[in-house]
Amino acid sequence: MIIKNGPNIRLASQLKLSKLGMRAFHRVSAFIKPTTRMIQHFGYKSTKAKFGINEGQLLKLLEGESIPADLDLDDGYVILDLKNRWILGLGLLINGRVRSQLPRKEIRAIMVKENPVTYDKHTTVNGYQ
Amino acid sequence: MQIFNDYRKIIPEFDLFREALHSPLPKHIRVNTLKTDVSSLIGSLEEKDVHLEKIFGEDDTLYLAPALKFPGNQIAYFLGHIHPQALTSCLASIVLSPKKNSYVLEMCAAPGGKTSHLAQLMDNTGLIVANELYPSRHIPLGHTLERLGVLNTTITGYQAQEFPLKQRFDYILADVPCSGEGGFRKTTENSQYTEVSEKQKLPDLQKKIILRGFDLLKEDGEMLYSTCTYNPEENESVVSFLLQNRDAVLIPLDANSEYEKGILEWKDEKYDTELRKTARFYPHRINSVGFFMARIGRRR
Repeated sequence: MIIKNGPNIRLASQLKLSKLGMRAFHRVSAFIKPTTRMIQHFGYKSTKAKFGINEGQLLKLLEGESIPADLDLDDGYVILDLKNRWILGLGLLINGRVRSQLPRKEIRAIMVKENPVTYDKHTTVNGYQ
Repeated sequence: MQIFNDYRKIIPEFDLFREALHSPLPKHIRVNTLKTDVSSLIGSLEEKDVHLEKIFGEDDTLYLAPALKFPGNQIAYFLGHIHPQALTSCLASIVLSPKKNSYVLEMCAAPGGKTSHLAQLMDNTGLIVANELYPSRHIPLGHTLERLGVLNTTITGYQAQEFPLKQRFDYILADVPCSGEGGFRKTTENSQYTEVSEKQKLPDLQKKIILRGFDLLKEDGEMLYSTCTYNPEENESVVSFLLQNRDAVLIPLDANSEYEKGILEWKDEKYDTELRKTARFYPHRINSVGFFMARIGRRR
């Protein structure tokens, strides 16, 4: 877990705590994996193992496919950077191809598409202000 | 809507109030400045033809998103850049306005909208103790906090009215369990207001929570007591009970929006004139969930 340091942590430690701060890592079978949220928060500071993708590539990843990655890296986790703008989380690089390690229940293809289903162009502003 | 007829005497322009209940609750979102900046977020949504309307001149994080049916389907939601949250719910944290590096308690925290807003206002400094009695609600609370990049919060599981008295807090938010009348909108013919079970037991619980919250305040601390109901027995009556049993004072609040002052009598009860410093938010005044707030401090 990670939490911002401060003088009140000592006070709070006297309480019965259920959770503290943000989970930074979790176990995935025999491996330790950084959490998506930790990577989103700190991944922009990374100078290595970043893989820039576009929306089309992200859609493929979300549909369970792997995408080719010309990266001078060993197999392992890479940070997925959407449009060089948003750190999404991690992918897994194996033999020159990357698969998504993003939480499937939290990021869905509809988020990436233009989503006309969710945008109602005919809705007008409610009159109350 | 017989139950709301009982409030005809205390809700001004009651016909407008009832008319407002026929409109659906608007889609409000809060921009989470812990993970993005406002201009980038607005720009990215504009690219998807999603337009936001700023609500307050002085706060650039609160927006109306009239055409955004499902905010949870935006990538900005996954990234923690936005959080759908009722305007009045956001106002509670803004009125409390905890300073950076302070020690804050939220007594009934799940699902975490207000907790994360407090963290945002504190810029992830200090420490927030987010208390939630039910362990099953710790999971969605934790998810909300993590999605929104909150790093200064810990979760506890005490009964709010039994929170340990070992320490004192700079700020306390007591957004207590209530009958939830403020969330009701009659948007279809079949919409019916369903009274929560054991509603009559709520004021007892709320009184215990407000007393414990007050006892946990530092000498110069502040507490905000809030509900999303119109029921005076859960609002002014509870605050009045606190004033009768503790050396508490009500602090005028500046919610930067239209509200009515607290009432001074209901059924057989009369309340201290100090209760005029509390605030009632109605849907025909501020198009959002009906709300009540009282800002409380220690007499010095």
